Amino acid sequence: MNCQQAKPLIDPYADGELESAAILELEQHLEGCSACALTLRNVQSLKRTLKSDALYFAAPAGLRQRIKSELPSPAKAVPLRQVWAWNWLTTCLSGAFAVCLALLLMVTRTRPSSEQQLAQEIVSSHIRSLMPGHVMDVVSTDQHTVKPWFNGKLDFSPPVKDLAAQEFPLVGGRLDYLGGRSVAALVIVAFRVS
Amino acid sequence: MDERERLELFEQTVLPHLDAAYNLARWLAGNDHDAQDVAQEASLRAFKFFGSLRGENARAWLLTIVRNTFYTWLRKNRPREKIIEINDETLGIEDGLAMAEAVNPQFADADAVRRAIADLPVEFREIVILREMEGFSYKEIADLAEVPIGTVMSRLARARKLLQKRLTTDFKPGDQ
Repeated sequence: MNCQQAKPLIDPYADGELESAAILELEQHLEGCSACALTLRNVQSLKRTLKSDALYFAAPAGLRQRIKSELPSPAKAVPLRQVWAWNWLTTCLSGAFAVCLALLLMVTRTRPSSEQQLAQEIVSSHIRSLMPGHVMDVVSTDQHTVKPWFNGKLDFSPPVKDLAAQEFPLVGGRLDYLGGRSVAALVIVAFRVS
Repeated sequence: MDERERLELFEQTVLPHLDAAYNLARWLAGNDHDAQDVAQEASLRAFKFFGSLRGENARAWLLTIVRNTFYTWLRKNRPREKIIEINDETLGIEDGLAMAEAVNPQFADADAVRRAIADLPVEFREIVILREMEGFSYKEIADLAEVPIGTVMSRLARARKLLQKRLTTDFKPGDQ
């Protein structure tokens, strides 16, 4: 290695960013070359100087306080549950919405870039389902009725599980159209009778 | 995650790096008042976009926001401050310099070093701060400043030459 080759390696060497093969070659050169060795010493001494605590500006205490006061205070944050008046319909439809979303994640492989568009579609589809007569195409609490209903209407077989034992009874299903294909939406009542 | 958890997590993972945020803002903006403005705005922006921090280095993430906030601030408040491309010729760095034993900057007083750093063009200054004061790797700096690694290396090498030149000129032997 000559000085021309060694020169550009001196900074990365001082920074610990040189790979081991190059380190060996450079160190051999440095042993025999006082000019390059001097360049290295100058870089090292400059590095030590710049690391000095005296050059580091710590944040003023007032700044930290001001930022904290601008952040939302925890006391203002109200849990969602207290805000929403949950009734049977919203609960039921949220359940349908959640299942619809879960199914989609299972059956469609979506690229991250289209995620937002898909989310928008799910929301639109859900809102449409809230209009009278759109919640269910097939009304049945029997998974063995709901699942076969989708036969021939979809290019896949949706998993239909009865979660009645977990207090989330199935009440029916419908066809939705999302992400350029037909999908199954299952309607599940997600509320507890107290 | 509810709002309370989000706030707690933010205070635990991001706010401990406020010193680094202020230090970078201070070196970029050049004075305390503007640096506080930039650091505060960046921190609040960081909270707003806290969801985009995923497992990566929180300090690097915060400093990326500080840097972007600073450049937005710069365009708005000091539109005349030009970011100039600098090459070895405009720097007036001759190769002969490397042959001289630079005055050990450790003997230079902190004020002289501060002035020398402050006089660096801003895109050189930020690389020096990120490398020497924050200890980021070339790769991390490249990601943070959105430039290729080769540019990080050449800016760092040039910044060091400039600093050495300044400190050598300011402190001739016999001044001590």
